[in-house]
Amino acid sequence: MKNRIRELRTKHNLTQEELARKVGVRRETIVFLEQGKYNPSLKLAHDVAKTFKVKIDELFSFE
Amino acid sequence: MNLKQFQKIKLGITALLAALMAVAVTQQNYILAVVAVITSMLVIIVLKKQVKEVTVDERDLEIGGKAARLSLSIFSVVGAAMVFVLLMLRDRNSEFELIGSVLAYAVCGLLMLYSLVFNYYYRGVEGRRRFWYLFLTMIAILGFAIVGLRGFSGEDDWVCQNGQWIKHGQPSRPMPVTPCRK
Repeated sequence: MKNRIRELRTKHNLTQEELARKVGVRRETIVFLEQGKYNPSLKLAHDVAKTFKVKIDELFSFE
Repeated sequence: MNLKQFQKIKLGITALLAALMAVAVTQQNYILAVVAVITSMLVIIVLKKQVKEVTVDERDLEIGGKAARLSLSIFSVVGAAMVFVLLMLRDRNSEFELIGSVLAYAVCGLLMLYSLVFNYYYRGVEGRRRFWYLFLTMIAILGFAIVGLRGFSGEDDWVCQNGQWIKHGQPSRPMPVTPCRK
């Protein structure tokens, strides 16, 4: 599963730490998410998508 | 307090607790051990509440779950194998039987506890049923602990004295076949 979290985070001028705080997880979780090494829960995916004001399916894509 | 400060303090408390436990065991002061464990747990709980950052998130819980399941599987399989080995070698050393029995009991207890906790989450127990489930679980754990303590306390067992097995209480098993060498 691929995602656009790093791209959107950079676009919104957010650090990994800031994004982590906004969605209520640890920074390491954002690192693993961006690397595609962790599949988030529906709630976390929703929270991240909400932070970037996009739909979940715009954030994640299956290949 | 931030997460790093909390982790450093937690490490310090753990080191202090280990030192206190060592002192308590060498001096056979078990009250000190119990007080030290309870105090350190309370201090850690209070300090954790002071941390503003997220200390545990969903990824930690997922990893924790996987680690716990794997650890349980390894402990159960290795423990069960050890029990058979110890029971097979009981003729060489009579202590092996007791060690094997305690290990078997510990493995069964852990598996029982895992099943109860697993069912609790699996069924999504809520409301009134939650109280009864927790109550019955506590009763089961307490019963298991009492039976274990009673069984391994040596109250009802064969005692080796002056080269002879002597009946102590009402042992449920027959007299050991291993030679008594004390």
